[in-house]
Amino acid sequence: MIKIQNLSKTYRKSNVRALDNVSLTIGRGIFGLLGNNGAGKTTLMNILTTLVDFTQGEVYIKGIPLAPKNYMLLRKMIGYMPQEAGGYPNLSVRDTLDYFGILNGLTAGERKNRVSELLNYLNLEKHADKKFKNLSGGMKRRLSLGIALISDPEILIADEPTTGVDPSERIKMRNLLLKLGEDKTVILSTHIIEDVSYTCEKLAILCEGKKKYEGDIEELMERASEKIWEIEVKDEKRLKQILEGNLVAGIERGQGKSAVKIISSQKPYNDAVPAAPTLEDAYIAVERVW
Amino acid sequence: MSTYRLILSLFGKELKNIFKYPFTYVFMLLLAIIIWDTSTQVFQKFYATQEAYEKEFLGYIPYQEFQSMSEQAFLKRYARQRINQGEAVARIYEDRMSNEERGRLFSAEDKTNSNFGELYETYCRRHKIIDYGFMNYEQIKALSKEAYEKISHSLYVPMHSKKNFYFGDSNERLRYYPTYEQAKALMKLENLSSAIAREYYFRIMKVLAIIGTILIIGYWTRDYKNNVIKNIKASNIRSYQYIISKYLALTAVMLSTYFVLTMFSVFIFKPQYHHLAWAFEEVDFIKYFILLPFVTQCYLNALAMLVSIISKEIIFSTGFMFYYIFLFGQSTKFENEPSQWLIKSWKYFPRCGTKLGIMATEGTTMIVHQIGYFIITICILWLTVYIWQRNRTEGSG
Repeated sequence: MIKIQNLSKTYRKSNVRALDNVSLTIGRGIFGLLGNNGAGKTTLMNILTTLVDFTQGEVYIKGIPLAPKNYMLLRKMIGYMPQEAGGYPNLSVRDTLDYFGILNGLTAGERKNRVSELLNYLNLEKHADKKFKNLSGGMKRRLSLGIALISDPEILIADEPTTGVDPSERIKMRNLLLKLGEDKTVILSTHIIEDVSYTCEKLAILCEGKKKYEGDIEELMERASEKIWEIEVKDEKRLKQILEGNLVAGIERGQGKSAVKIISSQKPYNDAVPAAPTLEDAYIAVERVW
Repeated sequence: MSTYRLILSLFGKELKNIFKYPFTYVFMLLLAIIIWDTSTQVFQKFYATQEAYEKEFLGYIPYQEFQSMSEQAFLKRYARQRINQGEAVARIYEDRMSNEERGRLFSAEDKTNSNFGELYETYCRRHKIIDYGFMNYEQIKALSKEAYEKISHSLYVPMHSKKNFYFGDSNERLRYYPTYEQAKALMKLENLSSAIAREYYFRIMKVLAIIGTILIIGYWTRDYKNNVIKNIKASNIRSYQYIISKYLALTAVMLSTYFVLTMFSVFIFKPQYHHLAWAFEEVDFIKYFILLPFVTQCYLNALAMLVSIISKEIIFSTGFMFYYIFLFGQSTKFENEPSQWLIKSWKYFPRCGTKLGIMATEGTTMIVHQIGYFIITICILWLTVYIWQRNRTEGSG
């Protein structure tokens, strides 16, 4: 569906290389894009949504090259949910969706049907006449998803969709995305590992503009398992030494001892044993010791 | 959806959205106050009889009233007294000057180190002025009714103030004014309503420019302020469809509000002209609305939109537009004809004199000026679309 080859982006004014030779292949379903702040995720999202031009490389969306002459065609295929949920303060939820329906070329009849479908799908029916300024953070996020879906695009790009929302809204958003992933290509850009582990089968990890990993979550965990170690420590002095000299992923305390999880490419201590990694451990391993 | 239908749909939606933007109501309220205030100044009475005209507009005191006035009361009303050896005297003459000649003479009189004496003598030689010399109160009082009426022009000078465009009790005097006979002749040149319409729109246009600009900039920059710009840019609307629809909706709301409010005032004030032989027709207001604020506001709206899109924020855009409005909107007067205004191509505001019949000489210049600005407006719209399109993809081009 989306093929990215050797993609690079350098911002002219700041001379920052936001993406460095990134290649990815994204198929149907939900594809996670993990990375810290400043890893280049938003730049990649902006390139795919035609908001930012790239410096080098090639991008094909359903075989169509991402180039200015194809922008209008590609915009019809892509729905974009930006990092910050925006809307006109005095416009209601219904009016906001209707407005973006017009911007996406829907006729009055199409808009009417699509807006009610989306209100139902996003569970915003009760709040349809509420003004944007009176919505909660989670509702604004759902409305933002609605705006992205108004033209029923084949590809949905969601940039940090769960940032800043409460746990129940986060679960709602994940479920919505899971449902969408059944028949669309969804690119989920986030730094919240839990979101990826819950929704994605495939992911890519970006770090300082470079791709550090691309593939299945299972494969990532398998490869990471070679780098995650656990050591039981009873002596506080030793514990202090371990904490200072290693990349520690977590500590579990209890019964007068501490189980310390260490990320290391080699066995760090003789008494360290391999440990089952979580996705978070794997992500840190990729980012720091891969 | 076809381009035409999409523009129409978005235009309709933007119209609704504008009415959900709180500043729209502030704009309407301010405009209503300004229009009403201007209307009360501009729609002054024109007097049907010579006596009423001279008394109410030119400030003359009828002979009988003058005879019963005390010296003190007379001197309060007499604007051009001189003190000669401790006694108030007046330069008395018969006024046969044209409006322009009168204006030139009064302008010279108001200036120090001017050629007033020379000009006065020149007019005397040309019999534009019949000089009676200096007279004191008693001497004036001794004049016959016929003689008094002949020299009234030299005694009283119409005053104008902000509260009363044609006549008032301000200390600033009106240099240019027609005598009754001259006013009658001028009224044959065009409708009274034409002259009023010109002055009416000249006065409101500048205020509309200021508050209209705030509305335009506020409305455009809210796309950036409210974080909706990314969604708009990522949608599949074409740049020109978006710019044109929004521009047309904003301009339509602004101009229709303006038109309705000004015409409402016209209808309110119209009855006071019913008894006059001088024509007062609403169509003159429509004609001048199209010629003046319609063109100028379309231009300013396009410019404000362009500046908002380039700067993306409200402070710089407003500052720039205010600077432009005040600097390039300032009307310029002719040095030797203070009642005349210059229409300059680099000034968006085509100010010409309020005098009746002035369009016979200034009409073509004004129409050419406005056509020029209409073409510039189209160019600005094209440039705005181009810049928005370039900015749509950051780092392109």
